[in-house]
Amino acid sequence: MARRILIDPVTRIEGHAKITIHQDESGNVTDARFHVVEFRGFETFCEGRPLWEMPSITPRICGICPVSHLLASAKACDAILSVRIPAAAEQLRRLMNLAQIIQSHALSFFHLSAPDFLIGWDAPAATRNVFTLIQKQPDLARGGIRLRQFGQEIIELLGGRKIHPAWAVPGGVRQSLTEPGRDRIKSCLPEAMDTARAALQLFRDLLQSHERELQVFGRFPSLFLGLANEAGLWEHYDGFLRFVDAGGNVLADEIEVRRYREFIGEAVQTDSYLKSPYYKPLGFPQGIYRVGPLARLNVCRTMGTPLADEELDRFRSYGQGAVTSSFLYHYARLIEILACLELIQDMIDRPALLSPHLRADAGINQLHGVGASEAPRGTLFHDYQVNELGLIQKINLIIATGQNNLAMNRTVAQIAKHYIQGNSIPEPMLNRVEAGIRAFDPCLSCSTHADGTLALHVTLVAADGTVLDTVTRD
Amino acid sequence: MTPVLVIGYGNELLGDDAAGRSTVEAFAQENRADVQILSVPQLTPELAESVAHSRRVIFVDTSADPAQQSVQLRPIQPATRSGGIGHVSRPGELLALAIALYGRCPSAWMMTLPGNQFALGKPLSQLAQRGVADALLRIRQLCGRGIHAQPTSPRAT
Repeated sequence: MARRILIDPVTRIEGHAKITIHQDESGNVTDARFHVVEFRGFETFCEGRPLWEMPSITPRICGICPVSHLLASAKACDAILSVRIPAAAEQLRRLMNLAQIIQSHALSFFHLSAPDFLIGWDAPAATRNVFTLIQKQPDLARGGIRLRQFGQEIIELLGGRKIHPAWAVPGGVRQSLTEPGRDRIKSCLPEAMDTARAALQLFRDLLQSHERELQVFGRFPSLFLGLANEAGLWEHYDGFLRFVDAGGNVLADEIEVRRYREFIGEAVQTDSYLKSPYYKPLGFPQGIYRVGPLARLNVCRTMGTPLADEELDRFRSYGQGAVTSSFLYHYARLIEILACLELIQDMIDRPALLSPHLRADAGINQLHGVGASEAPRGTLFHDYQVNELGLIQKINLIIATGQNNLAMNRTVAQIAKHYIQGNSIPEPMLNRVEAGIRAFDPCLSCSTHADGTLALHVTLVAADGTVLDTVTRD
Repeated sequence: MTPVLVIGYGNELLGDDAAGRSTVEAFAQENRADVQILSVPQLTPELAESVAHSRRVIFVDTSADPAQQSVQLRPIQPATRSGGIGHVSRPGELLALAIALYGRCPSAWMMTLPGNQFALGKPLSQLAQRGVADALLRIRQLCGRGIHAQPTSPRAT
């Protein structure tokens, strides 16, 4: 009897989700789907609101990556105002985005994923968590927490608060960095750098014993999308769109962000609220692409900083053309942390960061604007249409997690094919399927966080809809 | 060392999910020097440091239980969860993290407010508004009880 295996919801990712693994009558895995219950209706909710409110409303979508929404929103507003923001404002926005990437990646690597590969894939679930990690590797665990705090502190120094800083505004930013703030950041950099380098060394060593994960954790050809710039440097805030294929060949380049609809289609699937974007010229689902750290490192020529570039060379030895194993999202994340720290070190003494010239004033000069920036999880698009009064008529958001939707499905299927044999659902398989999803660090924010809502439910459903088995793991 | 830390959390865009935050933000208007107040969308691991450096912590959230019609208050203990903690932490996990990382844990209370309206863009329901008013009274009582008092008798209403 053909059957489905449901894993609902996935633990240690934001929001709620479930996984369906399809088997044929012989018990072989044929397909997998990652179903998402995300924060739906947000686009309709924003219609009729003044443009000026958008940079303060949209970050409230998510408590994990509010800065990403803040910046993409502010950039869409800049486009509608038709302004070029002051150079100081751009540098300050870049600084905040670097901090956002650091804090988000630190949470992903040290808290969510490190327990899997440092404590052991087959360790009991009760011990495969950050608490055991603290016992086994206290310096690493503490360093990871302090790294996240460092990123959060920069955001707070700039925006006045860690979460939902109403700081970036249409035309620029509200305030600059202070001298004490600058000095504080400088004082924390050495420790942060030590933590990043130690984690990289650790992960390189781990890779020696994770050949299987490298092969089966979402290793498949796909396209990659990221922001790029003319210099070929790693880009996180501005520039143009670039698609590369699994061979590392550039398929489409120098695409202005406002033209994204010519290249990105959005498929809607009946079993998930998450839209499935694809590369339009190849159609759906052949146009599967990945975004995020792995994609950004495949899209750029160099990181543009010496230590991160050394790591990039090592990273690229794991691919032919592009690096295609999703397990290496973790490696890419650590390299990005290192690059962010180097970039902050390089920019922190620039006088512009203390400049009072922070905002360009203008009215509504365009009725349509698109903003994009690189969120920790990948390219984020905010597309606004307004009327002459600046009231939102229509918005479209394309989030990073959505763009990785097809790739997450394929990753889960690949892992399940490898580890599921027969009718049983072994715990180690669940661990690996969850870990495969976590490699993408999906942020499905956005559901209610009311007290007492998280649990893991595993359900076996026959092709005729009969529930064969249910397991709940809290 | 902060005498009392009050953390309200929830999504401000999701109706009654914001009740915990509304409560602590109202309490912040009282400008109590002995109380640190945090209003956050969700609990995250780095909050463990603030928790560890407090003598007492009160978590304020909305209950997902539709049967709950009034404010509930209970003492909580450190707790780990299989599968570890993630983007969203639970109060007990933050207490456990405070011990694991900083070697100390305050006495802690969990205050949950009732709610029945969690749709996007909705205001607080009347049920949640009543809960906010009651929760404010409870928090004042807890903060005025003396910083060394232990949460020994959960008070359900």
